[in-house]
Amino acid sequence: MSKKGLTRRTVLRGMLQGSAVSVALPLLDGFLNTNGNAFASEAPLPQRFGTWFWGCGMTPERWNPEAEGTDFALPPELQALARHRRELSICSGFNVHLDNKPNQVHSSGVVGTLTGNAPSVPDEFVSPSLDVLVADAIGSRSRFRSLEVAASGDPRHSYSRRSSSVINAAEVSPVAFYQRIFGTGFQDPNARNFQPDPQLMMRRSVLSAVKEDRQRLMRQLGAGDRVRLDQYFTAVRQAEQQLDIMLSEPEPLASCRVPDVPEASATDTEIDVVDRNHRLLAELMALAVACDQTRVFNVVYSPGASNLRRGGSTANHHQLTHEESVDPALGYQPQATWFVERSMQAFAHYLDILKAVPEGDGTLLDNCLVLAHSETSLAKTHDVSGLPLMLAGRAGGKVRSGVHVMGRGDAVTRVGLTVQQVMGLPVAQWGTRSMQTDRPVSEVLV
Amino acid sequence: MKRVTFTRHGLGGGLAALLCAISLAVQALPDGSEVSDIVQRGYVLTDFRLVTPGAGPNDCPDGFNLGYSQRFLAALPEAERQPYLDDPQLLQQALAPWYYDDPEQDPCANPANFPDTGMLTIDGPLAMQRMEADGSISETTAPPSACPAASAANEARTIDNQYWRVMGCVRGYQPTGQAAAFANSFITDGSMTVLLQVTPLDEDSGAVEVLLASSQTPVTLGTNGAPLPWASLPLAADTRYHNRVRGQLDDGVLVTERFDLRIIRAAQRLDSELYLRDAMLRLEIDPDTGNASGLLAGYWDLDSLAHSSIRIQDRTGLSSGKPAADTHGYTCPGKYYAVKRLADGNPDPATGECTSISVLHSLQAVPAFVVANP
Repeated sequence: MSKKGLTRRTVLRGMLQGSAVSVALPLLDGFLNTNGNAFASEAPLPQRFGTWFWGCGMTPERWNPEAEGTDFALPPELQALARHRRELSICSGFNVHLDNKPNQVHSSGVVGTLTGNAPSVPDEFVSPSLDVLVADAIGSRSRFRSLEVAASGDPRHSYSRRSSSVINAAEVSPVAFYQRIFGTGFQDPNARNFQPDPQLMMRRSVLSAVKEDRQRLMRQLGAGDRVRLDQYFTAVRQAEQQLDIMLSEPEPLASCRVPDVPEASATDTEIDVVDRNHRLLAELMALAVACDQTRVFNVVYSPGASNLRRGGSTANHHQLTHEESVDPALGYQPQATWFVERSMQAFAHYLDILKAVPEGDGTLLDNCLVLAHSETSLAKTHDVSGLPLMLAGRAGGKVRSGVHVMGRGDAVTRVGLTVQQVMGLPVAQWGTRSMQTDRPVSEVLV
Repeated sequence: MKRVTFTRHGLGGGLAALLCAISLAVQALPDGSEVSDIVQRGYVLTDFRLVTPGAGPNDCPDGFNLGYSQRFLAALPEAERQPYLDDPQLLQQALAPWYYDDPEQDPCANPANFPDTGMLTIDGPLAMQRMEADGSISETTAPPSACPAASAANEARTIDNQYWRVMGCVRGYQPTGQAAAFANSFITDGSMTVLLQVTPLDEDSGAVEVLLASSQTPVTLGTNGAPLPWASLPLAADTRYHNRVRGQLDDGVLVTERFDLRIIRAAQRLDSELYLRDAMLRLEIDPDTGNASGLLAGYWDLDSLAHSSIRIQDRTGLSSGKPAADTHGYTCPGKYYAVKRLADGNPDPATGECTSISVLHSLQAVPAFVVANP
């Protein structure tokens, strides 16, 4: 319960040199309910969903924990995540079932995980990716329905797709990403002097005019064009919703702060450069989420068939998975496993960044659910069984963490269904053919 | 009609007997006669791979072969290498295209039209497994197998493993390399399912009929990721991939006569077939588990080999040969001419040149119900 008369819209009012002025307040405990997990108005703190992708999977015997449940030791390739082991759950042994379709190398795994359907051709998205499904449900009240970044330096490194051809391209430059979030059009939620942008109001009316012509135009078209135009108008509707938000006074958010403009940085596939850009992009992404600019966020650290490389080497991670022999004494590929360990270090840094943002009585990470995944288990054989998956964060208390769940060959769609149900989608089953499931991963549900 | 009673070779316990009893069937034999109440044993392969024993310390005195990238870098003056070492994409661009729209321009789709780039092979005496004419396995030290006279029949010859001599100095074909790692994955990811069925013909003599066939149904995997036994798996609709041969089963060891073999050799998005000529199967059946393991020896038809292992066509029609060669560490024309040079089977009567090369595969199998097509 909030203190009497104190709400999130409270401002300090006064007179200054004969003019009325108001000063906004940051998000105070008094704005929250007694549990610190909702606004005093009982509007819950926003729920967020993110994905974090790395390419070329892992080494099963060095990544999969042996014990199930909460008392498991972290194998070598997961050691970097030791400081977060109570904040994330490991899901091992979940498969993409190919259903008699070819293994589209470096594609079937990620497409199957995100759409619940094994593709017939590479990068075939017969349905929207998981993040788009979630964004359609929870992303309409933020400025951006979703945001995508790729530390690997290529805008095409995005698995956020509404269909095979409609791709949410990734931002790769920290400076450009900063401008997109905090540049023109950004409304600081903690600034209490909100002024709708007249230019946006004009654009909104233009879009409305287009909308009014829709039915007349649709009647003149064939079925194929109607589908295409419907997709277009869906995008228009989404744009209108985003403009509505930008024309509305935002909620104050204490955790939101406008960062400094990052320094320009080069993009490259050399892993130290990728790490640096990943950190910059991740910090901006965390603040974009904290400032409620988006509630769905996708990060690609390295793409499928990972092109990351060490400085001075022409052999990238993907090449090494195929060309490097298994060391007979070690029983694994030492150079390839190095890239997996570096990828897990990067994910640990990402979680550090989300955790460093205080929010309510916890952290931003507590109010997020982040699915980390890859396109293969053992990349050497393009294996899409036993895919490595992790669920980080507690989704505002809806998810248990610190659990190792063994899928034992179950379809990976169980994880995707769990994500959707946690994020509030009214979905009872998900996936196609042998990947259709109505069984969420109950071990991680509260 | 000839009645054959069931002997439980290789099947321990009442459950196995019960399951086998379910598979009683009426069969038409190759000679058209029928037997009833015979008991067939069906299997699905859980492992099928080239026998690649690994290069010994003296087998490759000039080292291993180089792939396209390595050859390109090695040919550059040292001072010019650094830009390519710093930027892998530059190296990829320098060697482009990797996939050719015009097969005529593709050294992997059409290696015969390109000069021999040379390939290091194992040319000295070698101790490795070979299948003798009676189906036994020997491992004596022997020189390379030569291409026989056109009049010589393969039937009486030891089946060597000349293909290992071709690939023995290739990095990716060592036991810890890419080829070995991929081998079994094609079964477990559903790309390639191979069935075996052994039908007793005469209990007293041990005569059997063996059906070795492809299925287009993926294997059923258990929770540990391994193919489950006792799955029901249908034969491929295309009867070209149903290979029948007579054999002899004695004390749990099955040896077939020679036969020509075609099975679907699909591998993820790649699609081809394995065509062996004058092949022999030796299968040992474990009396405790009912599982089977063995060796398949034969002469790999060179045209088939070139298509499936050099051109490596995927389902879009493009050749993946060049990236595959680079990954493993060889060049396509180099391999093409080396295979021809070491070919040791089926000499062409007109030219005297051998048209196939001996090769050895190992296999493992678990019991399965082989479902005939309606």
